[in-house]
Amino acid sequence: MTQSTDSTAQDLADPHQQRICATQIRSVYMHFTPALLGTTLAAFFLVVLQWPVIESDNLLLWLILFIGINLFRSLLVFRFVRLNPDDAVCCHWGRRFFISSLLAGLIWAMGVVIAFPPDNLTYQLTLTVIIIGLGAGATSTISMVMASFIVFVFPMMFTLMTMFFIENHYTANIIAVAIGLTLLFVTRGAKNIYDNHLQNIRLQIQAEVREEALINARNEAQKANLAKSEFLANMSHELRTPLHGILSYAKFGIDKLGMVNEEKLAKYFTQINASGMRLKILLDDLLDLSKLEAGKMVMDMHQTSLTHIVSTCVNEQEALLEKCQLTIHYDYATNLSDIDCDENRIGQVIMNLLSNAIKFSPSPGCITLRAQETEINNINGKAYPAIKFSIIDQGPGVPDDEKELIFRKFLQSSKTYCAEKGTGLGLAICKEIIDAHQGRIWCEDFPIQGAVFSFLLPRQQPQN
Amino acid sequence: MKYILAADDEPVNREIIEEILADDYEVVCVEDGLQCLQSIAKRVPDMLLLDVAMPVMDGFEVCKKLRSETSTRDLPIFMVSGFASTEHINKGLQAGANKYITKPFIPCDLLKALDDFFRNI
Repeated sequence: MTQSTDSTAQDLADPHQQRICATQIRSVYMHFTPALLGTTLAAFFLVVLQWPVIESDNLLLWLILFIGINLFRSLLVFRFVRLNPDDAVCCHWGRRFFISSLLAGLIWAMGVVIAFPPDNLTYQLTLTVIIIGLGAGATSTISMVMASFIVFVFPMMFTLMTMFFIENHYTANIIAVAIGLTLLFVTRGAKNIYDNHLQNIRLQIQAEVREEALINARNEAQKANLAKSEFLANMSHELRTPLHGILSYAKFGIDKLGMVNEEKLAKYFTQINASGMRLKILLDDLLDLSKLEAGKMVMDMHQTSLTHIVSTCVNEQEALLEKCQLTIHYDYATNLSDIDCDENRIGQVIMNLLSNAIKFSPSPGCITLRAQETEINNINGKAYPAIKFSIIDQGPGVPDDEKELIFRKFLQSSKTYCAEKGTGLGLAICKEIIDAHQGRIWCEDFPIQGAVFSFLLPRQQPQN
Repeated sequence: MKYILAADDEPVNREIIEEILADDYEVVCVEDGLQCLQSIAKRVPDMLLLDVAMPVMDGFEVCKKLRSETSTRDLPIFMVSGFASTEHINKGLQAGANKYITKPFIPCDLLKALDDFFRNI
């Protein structure tokens, strides 16, 4: 439990902890084969050199134990290289390496006790050279994992030091102190190598993180560029359509002047006027949208009543509603007064949604305006009281895969496309306006038939 | 009189094409890609004027479908679109259109293009 808490705290402290740990362990395993050969050579030297002064059975028994642990370590390296485990699994292999290093350290400590000939300084020094050589060798091979280095080197060198102190004469004491100092230097050297290696790993990770960030930024820029090209192509198309109307009917008028009756000429002018108006609406929408997107449209927020805004919109559409034989059904389950918003802009949203509902409703039919009390969360997850306002029609609805797309510029639902066309910017403008009010707008299906366009509007504008 | 089928989702564009061609050709207009295919299945026209951005099935898809069927493989198709980029023009020609005309166009240019085409076949 404690270990788990510690590891979580470490993970929080360094987001790349697992990666660092895995790289250290990989580095140790990958470069461990020469170390295995070195220790094997050292073990044989120890047996051969101490053979004349130490009981052979003890030395052979120790050698068998040593070969056993070295085979275990070789197997670990072989398995690791073969499996090449990922970062998460590497930490388990770190524990295995630590245990194998501890066992090897204890066996070498046992070797020191067995091969230490009392009262024979020459052979004692031979053993000392082998052990110090092993300690020095370990600094370059396993110091990347400091814990494994310590459990390997400390038991054997500490035991050797103790053996000299037990001898308890002047020279032995000096050698014991020298071994202690060597242990300190070797540990210091190992720590330096460990720190440098750690620093290198961190720099490498930083470089990779930066490279990834650069690649992401490049991809984002490419996406933005593609979106811009798509927007320009769509805008050009939308501008060319009414322009085509204006130019064509103007040319008919010029070419057929005096050849067609007044009624036909009036039709040409009407078409020029209609196309011109469409072009004007498109340009106005484009200007609105660009201002909204650039955050340059200042919202005139004040406490107002949504009922008043809705009734203004419905009154404006009254003639069309009557013509299309559509009735409005009000389903208000909450008080719509005291809402902090820009009256004109929210009016623009409701007008847009209402005119879409009228455009796509069957005739005769009914459009429901529904309001409910709800809550909206800001980016920090704090909930604010909000109004959910929905406009429900009985039209063809919006296919699932287009429910988000229709809020993009110049994209209209395939089901509603062939009806009287808008500029393809209306819903994109609605979304920008609702976003500027820190609300949310979306589209869903009405269970029986039709589409439900809803938006959430906070009662009070949340303070950022 | 040659029979021309025009597919365009914009009512204004359909009216313009009828106004330009009605004196010299038999013109029928449809509103989307599917209607276009259904109309061709009933009667193959001498020429198809095909808009690109249409609901249900766009002009590129219609063009590819017609080119993949034996009865309409050689049907003359002029794509007429407000998309004027090189990518769109190439895409239209690769889909199998004989010509790609961008809007706005001058009425007599469309007449001339049709005349030239019919004279050369």
